[in-house]
Amino acid sequence: MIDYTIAYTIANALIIIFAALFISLLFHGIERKIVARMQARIGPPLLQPFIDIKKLFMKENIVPDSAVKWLFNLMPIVALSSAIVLFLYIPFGMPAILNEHGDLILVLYLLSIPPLALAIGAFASGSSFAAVGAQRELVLLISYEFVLSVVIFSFAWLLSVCTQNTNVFSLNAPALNPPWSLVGPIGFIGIALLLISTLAVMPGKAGKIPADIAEAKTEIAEGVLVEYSGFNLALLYMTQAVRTFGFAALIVALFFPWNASIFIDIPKDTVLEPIFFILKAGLVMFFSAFFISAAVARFKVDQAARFYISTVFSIALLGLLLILLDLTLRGF
Amino acid sequence: MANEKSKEKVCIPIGPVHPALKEPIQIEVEIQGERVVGTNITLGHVHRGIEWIGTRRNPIQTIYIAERICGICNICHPLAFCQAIENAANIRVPERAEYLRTIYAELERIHSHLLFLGVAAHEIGFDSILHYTWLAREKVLDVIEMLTGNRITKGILMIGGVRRDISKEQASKIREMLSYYEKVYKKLSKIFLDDITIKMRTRDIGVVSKKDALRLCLVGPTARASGIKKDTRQDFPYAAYGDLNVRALTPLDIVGEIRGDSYDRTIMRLIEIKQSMELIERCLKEMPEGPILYEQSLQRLLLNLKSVSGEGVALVEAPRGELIHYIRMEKNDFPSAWKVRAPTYANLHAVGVILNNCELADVPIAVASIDPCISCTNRAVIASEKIVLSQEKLHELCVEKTRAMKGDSL
Amino acid sequence: MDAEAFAERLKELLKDKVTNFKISTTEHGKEKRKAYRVWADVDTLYIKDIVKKLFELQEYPHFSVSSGYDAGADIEILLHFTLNYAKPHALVVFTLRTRLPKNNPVIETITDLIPGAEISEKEKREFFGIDVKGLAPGNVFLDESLAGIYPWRKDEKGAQKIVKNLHESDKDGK
Repeated sequence: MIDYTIAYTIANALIIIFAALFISLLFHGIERKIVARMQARIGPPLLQPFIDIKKLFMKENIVPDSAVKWLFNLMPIVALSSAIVLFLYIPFGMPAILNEHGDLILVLYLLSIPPLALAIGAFASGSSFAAVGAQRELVLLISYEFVLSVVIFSFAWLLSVCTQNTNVFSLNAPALNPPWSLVGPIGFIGIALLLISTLAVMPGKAGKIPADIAEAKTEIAEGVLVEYSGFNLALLYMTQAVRTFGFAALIVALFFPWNASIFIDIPKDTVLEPIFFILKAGLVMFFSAFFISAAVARFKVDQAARFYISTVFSIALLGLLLILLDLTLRGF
Repeated sequence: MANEKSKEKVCIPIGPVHPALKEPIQIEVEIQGERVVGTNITLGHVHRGIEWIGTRRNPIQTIYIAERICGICNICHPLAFCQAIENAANIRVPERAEYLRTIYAELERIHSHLLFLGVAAHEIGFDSILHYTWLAREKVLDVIEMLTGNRITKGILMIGGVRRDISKEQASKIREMLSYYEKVYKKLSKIFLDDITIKMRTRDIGVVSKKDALRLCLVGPTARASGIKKDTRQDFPYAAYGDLNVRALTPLDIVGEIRGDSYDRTIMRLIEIKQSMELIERCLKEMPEGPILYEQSLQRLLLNLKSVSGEGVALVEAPRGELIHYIRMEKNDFPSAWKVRAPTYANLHAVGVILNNCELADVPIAVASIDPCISCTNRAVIASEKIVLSQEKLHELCVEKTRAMKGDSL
Repeated sequence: MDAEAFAERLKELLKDKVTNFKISTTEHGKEKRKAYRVWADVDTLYIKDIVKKLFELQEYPHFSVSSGYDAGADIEILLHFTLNYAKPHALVVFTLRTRLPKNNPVIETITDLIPGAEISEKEKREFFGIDVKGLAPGNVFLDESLAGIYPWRKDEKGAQKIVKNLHESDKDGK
């Protein structure tokens, strides 16, 4: 019996992983098309990322002489695997495969491994451009992780005060008790502010303009990615796409956890639920990443850090204070 | 680790092959953390031996060599060359030809400035503007193709005049283009003057004071952005500019203050587009009738030129600044000496001042703001065993040099 | 001061130090405006003095470029200045010529007076093999491996050795 469950879980996990990979790359293709249209161009075909990956797999994998070879080759694998594994923990309309084996704190850690892996790989490559890119990536990481932690802990705190749920960090908790319905009007604005600050973190997480500083093409010749080629570069390319979708999935799981069956009269727990989830994630990505990347120029790393640590953090803090105010007013 | 890093200097080579540079030039910046503390410029990567070649071709052939000095400065180099020969040989160009030359020069200026605005936006990561300006640029390239037969390397100038005239239908097409550009200009000025992210990336970056600009003999929009009203079209009455009474523009005319930073240099070129549009309109209206060539028969022209002995010097306001050609003829088949000085030649002196205390992220936009046309600056490559370098070899050398310079840092 | 007056003042200022002083004009456009060019020859020793004198007429004389010409026994260096700028139709192009004997091609630098002359002087040094006293070391255009070859000279030190004619080489460029 036990063996059967493990085999079942592994099979499901593999399906989820490949599906997540496929959908991330599809969204990347959609993004390029949308951004191109916004810039009055035609843009590449929707399946362009797949064509790019296929090409990259066929290319030679060059490792620089001055690189620390085992680190250089290991980091892309670490980055992609940690980004993909995220999807085993986030509920997507249906319960996650590794449901209840991991919680929000684990997800937060998983989200911060890919940038670290990129930075380590860049330092290991021995290129001065990559080193500058890695420095920027780390500065950016510190800045937005700060904001993200505030948001996560605000959530957890809200849930712990308002519900009997002892496992407030569980990813199912927002689905069981949607935070919007736990608060009054002032708290509603508070949660909206938390949402805005999380959406502002998205360009940083996803590596898009205005915060694609670590890969700034014109300034440091692709930065962290400059020495990677072939197979390694294909893995990192996929990592970038997966990070975007993964973070959008997290935002949906936290802020918009409702299933489609609540709104429309369809049977519960069918494959329509994941599809609805994917649509929600797409909307989140459009408004926080695609739209902005066509509309503004790139930050410098100190401007980005200042933006996150002062402006966005203040918004998140204000959101938390409003929730606090709301709960106090209602007698919690 | 952070402390050690801030004390160590790292040499980052920008170029000769770098995504930020459209042409090869090597700028070695020494950085500490993210601040630039020293620069060193080496040219010569695309030096092609043009002045040497020019002394082995007859003057008419050399016009076409002069055209190919640069892909963007396509009218100004042959124009200066023709004017220098006309100065040496005492040839008076017919008035209609002078007006036609002015129209071509201003069309080229619009094209070049639109290209620059796109490149500047690309350097700061604002690709939407790149695509918009380069899309708009297609219109002026279409008009140029209609008038001359080609988008660049037009072959329209000849010693003593121009080779083709502008008919009434072509003039009306030019006016259509001008009205299209009214709308484009309105949109671009809204973007460049109001957008916050552009100002954030270019304001107070790479400031060149008025005194530095005068001492370093800067030219063109780079100098005008620092408040010096140097404009060869205003100061020197060549072609039809003597009649048009052009006035040099400075950032005072558009934003009300002069700071001499990258932002000023960028918007200088924006308002010059407007100025060029007005000049073309006036030229079309005031152009006199008459011949377009001093001497129709090229054989007779060449024969005349072979018996010329004298020197000529000519100035032209290229999109990037003052351009000067010097020619010496000594009753020979070929000119005896030819010197070309492109505006970027002079403006490169500003790079050291601009990059002083810049951050690494600002280096591309700061250098791009002087609108370097490196091809104009380098004009001779002597192909030898060592110097014929392919792209890969250049990159290899660049990377090796970086490793050698880094030593044991990182 | 307009161009004609400036050219006359230049003549007054320099008349004892230079030879072959010539003012030439060309006419342009419908209004036949005159463009002024001034030419003068000077001995190599007095080049710097003449440049210093220019500062009396203009606070920051604009140095455009220096041209060169191999005239057999000596090398002619011409300095081109554009003076009286920033005033409509008032520019004067001033060309100062000096001859350096090939057996002793020495000239003083003017970069201490006009820093914008640096690239031009370095170019003359690389391409003619002249010695510019006081100029910072370092090449701008040519690689150090080409030392001894001065491409703009017409004598044995010219570019003959390094020129490759396309019609003489095979498809590999040899």
